[in-house]
Amino acid sequence: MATKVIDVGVDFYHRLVNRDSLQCDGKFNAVEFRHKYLKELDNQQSWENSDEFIQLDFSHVKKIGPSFANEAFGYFTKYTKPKQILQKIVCKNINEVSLMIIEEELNAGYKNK
Amino acid sequence: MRKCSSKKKSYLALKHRKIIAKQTRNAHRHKHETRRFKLLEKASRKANPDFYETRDLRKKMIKITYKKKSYDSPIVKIDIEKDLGIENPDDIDYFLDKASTFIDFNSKHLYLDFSKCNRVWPSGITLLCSLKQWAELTSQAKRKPIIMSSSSNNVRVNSYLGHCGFYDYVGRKKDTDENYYSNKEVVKIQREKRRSNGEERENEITDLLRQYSVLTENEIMMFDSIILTEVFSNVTEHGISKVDAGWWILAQYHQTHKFISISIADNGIGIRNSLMTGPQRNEIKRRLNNDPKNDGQFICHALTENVSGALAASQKKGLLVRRYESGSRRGHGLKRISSCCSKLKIPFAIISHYGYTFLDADGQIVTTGAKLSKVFAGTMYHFSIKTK
Repeated sequence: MATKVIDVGVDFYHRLVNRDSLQCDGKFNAVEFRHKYLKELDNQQSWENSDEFIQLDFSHVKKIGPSFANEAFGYFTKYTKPKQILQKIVCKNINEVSLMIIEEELNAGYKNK
Repeated sequence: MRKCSSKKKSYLALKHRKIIAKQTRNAHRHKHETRRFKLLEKASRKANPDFYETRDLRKKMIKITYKKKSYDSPIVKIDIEKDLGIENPDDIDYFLDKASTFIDFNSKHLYLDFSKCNRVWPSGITLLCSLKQWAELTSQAKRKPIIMSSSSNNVRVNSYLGHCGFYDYVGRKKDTDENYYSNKEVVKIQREKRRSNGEERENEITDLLRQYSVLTENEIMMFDSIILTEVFSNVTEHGISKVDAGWWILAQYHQTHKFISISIADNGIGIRNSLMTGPQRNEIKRRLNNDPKNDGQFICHALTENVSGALAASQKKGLLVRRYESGSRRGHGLKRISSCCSKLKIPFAIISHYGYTFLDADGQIVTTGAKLSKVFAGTMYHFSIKTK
């Protein structure tokens, strides 16, 4: 199956900050993002291999907040380790601050154990 | 009186019948919708009793906190003789002592005497706006208390109060048209009408930081993505809407003192009340006593532990060892803010209802505690950022 490529800033929104509909204005939130693009990964079987599933292009994304990263990506730490998540969900053209935030949230989610 | 033909009479009768039928239909529809809504709520209450219990508890707390009170005590005069603000560490005690004398006032008239005051810092202005918000939220419509203030003998103070947007915020006429301050150096305080205004304010703050602060582009991005995002999420979520969205912000570049002061606040129920009416309340109750005297400890707890007062916050599970499940979870916000501040060497303070906590540039708690009276009607986050 060909890898999906999403231009997050164009196809979704340039400001990724809201966790859910309760935060700020509630628009373009992480729950909505996960359901829209990462729904197929919401089961244990999808994580049995490390094949690339989706490429997220962050070139038009202005910023990503910790709450959004926690809900959109940290959610999957209930299935696997942070490293495998970033192998399956590939972040392209992402600045180092945004990548640091995502990695921090993945580690925080995994350490919940 | 005009004669009405039989044709016209039957037309009017038909029209009347149609109106009555429409009204009856609408009434039936409304009744049906209400019943449907009640049944749906009953079903979801049954499916998720904890969530609804927490929601009801939160609603009750909001009702108690903002219970309408009668402002009928005699006039109270408060003298502000020194600088008002927490920007200078030497003024913190004065700020907290003064704030505790007037935030929870009961008088019909409150008179703030600024004549001897030489400086009102952004945190002081944020405090005065919280006083205004508190009076608006807790007074009855026709029995609002009157808050008055004198002008300062220092014209620069009067000019600044007008310039930073404070007089517009509280609806007071400006003392002077003379302006000693530049518009480029301030993000003015104003009545934020919408939750989505946060993006606009974030951009204004980052512009101010780019122009004057010592932070690099990456550090500004960190400040914006982590600190501003989390603080704005908190204040917009906890602000109680009435006259406005219940949150406000003031940022100012202080050229002489070489720092930028950023104060962001909401008029919410405070950190302790939020945690004690959230889903993790039983867990927190084991460690801290739900008492206003412990407000400072509650702030410290929120800064160091992964706790959340959000209605959707997760709870620890397990019979022998209780722990959180892996995956996404709320409650990292204040911890993230505090760790990012220490990375960027930014002193940071939180004042929430009775409690306060001040952290230095290394993220160490310098002062924490609580006063016997409220020191802030809501929660304020304050940051001091060094400039070039």
